[in-house]
Order: sequence, then structure tokens, then C-alpha cells
Amino acid sequence: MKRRLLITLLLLLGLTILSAVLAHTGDGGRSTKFMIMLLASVKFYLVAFYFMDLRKAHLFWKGVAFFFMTVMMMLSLWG
Amino acid sequence: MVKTFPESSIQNYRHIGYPPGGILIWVIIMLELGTFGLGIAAIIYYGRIEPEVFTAAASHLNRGIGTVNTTLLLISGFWMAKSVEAIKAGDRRQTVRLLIFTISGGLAFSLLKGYEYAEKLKAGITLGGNMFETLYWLLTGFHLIHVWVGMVILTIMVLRIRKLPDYAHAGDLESAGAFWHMCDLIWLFLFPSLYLLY
Repeated sequence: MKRRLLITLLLLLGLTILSAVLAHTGDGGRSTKFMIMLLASVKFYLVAFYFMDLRKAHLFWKGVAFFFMTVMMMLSLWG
Repeated sequence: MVKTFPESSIQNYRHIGYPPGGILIWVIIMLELGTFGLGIAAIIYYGRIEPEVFTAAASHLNRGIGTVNTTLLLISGFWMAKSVEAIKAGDRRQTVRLLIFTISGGLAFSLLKGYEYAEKLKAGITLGGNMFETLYWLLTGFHLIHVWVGMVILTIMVLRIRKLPDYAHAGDLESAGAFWHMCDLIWLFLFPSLYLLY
């Protein structure tokens, strides 16, 4: 799809604004922190799988990306 | 005449040994993500130990600048991805144009970061202040060096692609692009950890 990269960029920018708004309006609690890191993980997925074409790669490399995203989200629950 | 990138020379990405950009750049990406991941774990860990210090120190960071810098990196990442598409389509002129846009995005990021650093130094926020400030300077500084290395790599690619009118550079550009996107990936977790969580 020709517009795939543009749609990905628009999603990324929207999620960036959303996470900044969430940080500004949230209570700073664990659930807010988790949501912020969840949004960061979605952005990580979009960059890795669409800008870097990881969606076409072997399952191993996709697994590495998902592992990193999961660890980062779990860290926010711990914090 | 615009020639398309020969289909037979496109790597089989489904093979474990040929991720997009090549296995070597992905080994580097894994190492870098691991290194910065530990840095982010340190932010979370020390944030648990000294929550008041972290909240007070983080309030000195400018979320607006952090958000604009994130936007700049994402837009330059978009141009990078478009330039890889362009070289695969055999459009050298468009590839070079998009690479120059990408480098400009990195330059704008660096200038804004420089302004932010100057602001912090003026306010007396230095490497040795407290744990949050130490981690802020080390992690953002190390990340900025990666952005500069990426800009140098992309500048070399622009010069090479301009000189030689063939498709041999598509694989190299994909690797260079993977390095550039890695700077995005690192920043996507560094930004919320430093600017938004506390």
C-alpha cells in the first residue's frame, strides 16, 4: 500500500501527542505510567515493523522486538 | 529513465540470517537496545528509591522540547523509510533528496537538544547533581552521539549514491536506515522515561 508509511507516521505523531497529554493530565500513578509505556511500545512496534520492515522478517527478529517491548512495559509496572 | 530494483537481488527477509538491513546491523541494534534498556531500568529503579528527588528533578525538564524532538525524529524516520523505497524503485534523485531531509531532521534534533542542554547548564543542572540528572545527561548524551553517527553515515550514503548510478547501494542504504531507525527506537522509550513518567 502506497500510503502505508504516511499512515504510520500520522499514527506515531498522534500517539506522541496522546502520551504527552496523558502525562500532563494523569495522576502520575502506576496505571498512568503503564499507559505511557504502553503507548511507547505501540510506537516502537510501528517504527520497527513498518519503517524498518520487520514485519517481513523471520519470527526470531519479531520475537526480539516483542521481548524488548514487554520488558519495557513490565518495568513501568515495577516502577 | 527510472529502473526498478531487480527483484532477484532483494534479500529473502523470511530467512533468519537476512533481517531487513542485514544481520550485523541487527546484532548492533540488539546490543544498543540492551544497553539503553539497562539505562531505562536504572531510571525506574532509582525512581523507586528516591521518588521525591526524581519528581523534583524531572520537573526541570521541558516536556514541550522533548515532544518536539520526538516529532522531529519520527518525521526524519519517515523520510528515511521513503528513501529506502525510492532507491529500491531506482529513483536516485528522490533518494538523495529524502536523505537530505532525513539528515536535516537529525540536525534540527541536535540543535534543539543543544538549546535544551544550554538551558540546563544555565540552571545549574549538571552531570553530578543527583541520580536523575546523571542518568539524564548520560543517556541523552549517548543517544545524541548515535544521532550524529547516523548523520555521518547518511551523508556518506548521499555522496556515494550521487557518484555511482547503480543499485548496489540499496542494501547499504537499508543498513544505514536501520541504524537511523534504531535512534528512533531508543528515543521512543528514553523520552517517556525521562520526560513523562515523573
